[in-house]
Amino acid sequence: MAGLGRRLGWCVAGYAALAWLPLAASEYHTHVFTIALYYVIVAVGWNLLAGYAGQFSLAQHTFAGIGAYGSALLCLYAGVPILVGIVAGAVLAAVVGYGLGTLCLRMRAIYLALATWAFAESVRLLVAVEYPITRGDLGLKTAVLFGANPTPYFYVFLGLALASLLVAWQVVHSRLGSYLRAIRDDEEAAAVMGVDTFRYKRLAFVISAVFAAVAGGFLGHYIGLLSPTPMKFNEMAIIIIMVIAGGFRTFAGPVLGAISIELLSEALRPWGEIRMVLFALLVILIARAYPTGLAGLCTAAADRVSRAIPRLAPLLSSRQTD
Amino acid sequence: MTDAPAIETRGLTKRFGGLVAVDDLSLAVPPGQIRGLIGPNGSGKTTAVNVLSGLYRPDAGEIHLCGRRTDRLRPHEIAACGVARTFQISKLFGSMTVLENVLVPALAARDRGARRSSAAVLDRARGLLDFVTLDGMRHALAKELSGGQSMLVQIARALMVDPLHVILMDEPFAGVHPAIRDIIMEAILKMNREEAVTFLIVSHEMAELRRLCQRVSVMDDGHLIAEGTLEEMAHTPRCSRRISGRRRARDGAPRPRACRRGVRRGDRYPLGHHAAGRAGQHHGRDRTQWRGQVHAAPDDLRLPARAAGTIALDGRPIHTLAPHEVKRLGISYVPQGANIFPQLTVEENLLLGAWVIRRERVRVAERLERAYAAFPRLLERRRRRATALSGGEAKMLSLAKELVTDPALILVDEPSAGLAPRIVEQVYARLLEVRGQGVTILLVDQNINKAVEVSDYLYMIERGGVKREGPRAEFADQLRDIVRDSLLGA
Repeated sequence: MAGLGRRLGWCVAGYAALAWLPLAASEYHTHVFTIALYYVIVAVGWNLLAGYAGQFSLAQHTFAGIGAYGSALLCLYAGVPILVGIVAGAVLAAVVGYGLGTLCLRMRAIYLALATWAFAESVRLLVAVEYPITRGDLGLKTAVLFGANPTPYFYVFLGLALASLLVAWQVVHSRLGSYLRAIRDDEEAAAVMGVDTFRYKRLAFVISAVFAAVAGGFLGHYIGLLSPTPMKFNEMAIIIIMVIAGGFRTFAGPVLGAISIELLSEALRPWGEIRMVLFALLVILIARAYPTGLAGLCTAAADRVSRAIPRLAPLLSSRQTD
Repeated sequence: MTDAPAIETRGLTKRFGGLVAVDDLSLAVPPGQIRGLIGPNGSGKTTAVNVLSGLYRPDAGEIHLCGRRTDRLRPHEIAACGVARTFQISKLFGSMTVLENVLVPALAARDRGARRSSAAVLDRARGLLDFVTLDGMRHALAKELSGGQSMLVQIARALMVDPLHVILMDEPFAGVHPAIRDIIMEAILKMNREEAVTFLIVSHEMAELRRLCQRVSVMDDGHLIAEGTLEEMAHTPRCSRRISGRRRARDGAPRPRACRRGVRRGDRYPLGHHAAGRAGQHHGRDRTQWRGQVHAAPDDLRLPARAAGTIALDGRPIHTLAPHEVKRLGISYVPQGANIFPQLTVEENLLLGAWVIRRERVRVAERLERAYAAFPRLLERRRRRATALSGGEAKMLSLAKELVTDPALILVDEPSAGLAPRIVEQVYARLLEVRGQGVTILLVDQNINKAVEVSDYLYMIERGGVKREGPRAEFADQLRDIVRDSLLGA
């Protein structure tokens, strides 16, 4: 397909530009981009569940925490290699996600959000309270993967983000993707057409949990210190803001949103907690003026450019949204 | 297949709180039959279909579909037995294309181990879409389709369930253009003939059922009250009254067809205008004018952001007003689907309808009384929540709610869709009554005969523009041509 080729071209160009980054930028900027890539993975996972399947979970950040703590604790107490620990953390998140999904996914919209939120808070409190094991708010030191220089981590996360995008692309364009959108549009109709709605919702839940857990696992072994603070609701709010700002229910949305919000967040760091207020305003503005977010904005801009300069049209005309 | 009935229920019962929607229903439809399920609004037909397809769990009784006991199965497991269905309202997957919609059941069948190749599945999907004349629109998003097209896609989608033994249809003809009705009937007959699919069709459209069904089952108050050919039913006094809502004529001869005439010819319509067409423009005595496209969203008369044109009421532009301001000007809107507040009781809905006149207590009380007099069924259900109402009752409430304020202009979209003939009569009678009080009515109706019968001035809309317009007399003479043209144009 020509559209696919064009899109692929853009992606390769984007990736080449990003891969160049550690050579050109300072360690600090490389670090910021590494964190941005972490958020790309978490946000893409959440968009699969909330955007495509319509299941508005508020526990995505908790699964990142489960992946990180699971891996760190295993490495610490069982002495397993880091990569084994990360895989085990992802498996743990999958199992927990499966169980939580089984309990919650028969609930409708707001109840699902509340139940997952309650779960997220419980896990955070558990981590904070189990001081002898997790060292609670003092923080848990973790073994690092490559030392202190962010460059190798940057490439790891670049690879992970690429892998997660490929998996997400596969999911969206497979039978599962059709089912998820059908469930979001009309769950009753999907069920009477023979789709086992509960099973596929749970599968989406597990996939998005694994996305978060893998990213969280690697992040833990990069930062070197875990604490329950990033398992607060703030973190979930950031993920939601990224996906909404980037473009809810679009494929490129979480990528654009995660990178731009993380960069913005770093730029606004001197402002402290006021950042959240600014983000909230930004989200309200986007939701009001451009519900399809940055992805929609890009598509509209590309359309405009290709109308103004027809010669560029073949380069730009591929649709960004699903 | 065996000789066991394709659809069989024994003692099927479904309650909602105190309301017994389906009461001890025992039904048996042999394989390969096309069976009609008829009865007045609120008799439990839709609930029965919802229970059969697994969306509701029955409170008592057994269901056997295609030889398997299904009353404890979940909807997708029932679909796996070869049972498909359509819904009265469009339940397509709006963000997916027409083709993607139709492919969903086939994908699900694949996951269950169906053997068809991708090419065969795609062939069948394209073939079915072609049969329902929508292959050209296969890449359009489902939410962009009209009501009739949505029904066609729903039917094509149901026919993609694999294996396919039984199709349950809920009001497939409600609010659907006559040309599309023909396509639907052809599809049903074809699948019944070629693939021996058993059909259970809930409908109020006697002419269509007469063509399709060997037998009909009649429900009333959740019970099965009779079964037989449509002719037999018409000659059973209890049933004909149930079907048509007519008491037997004085000479004792039942006249089941008479129910399809809502308004006696020769009635005079002294005031106001009715117009008919697919969403439209109307120049009435009060100089209500629409120019350009009217975006007929349920609660919003504003033009879509990028559309051109104006809407004016008595020369005053109103397309920039918010919905509540439009309502205050005396414009009411009765959409095709009922716009009622499901969590409120019937009476609370009516009181909310009277919101703009809420301070005039006496007037409100009097208007409510009048609403109950026009629709006695609502009086019976006065204290019930609107969720417990059937589709037809909800429609009555929707209309009654809009009428309590004495609007100057009412926009009515497909008033007869999915209603029993008796109720259709009540609805049109009520409309004519308020028209008699000087209210202008803009009526959108697929039911061309009816529209011509009750309207003073008509517009015929095609592809978003007015194709022809004129006073009723002109249309009545040319009715046959119009119907033929619209069939060709569809």
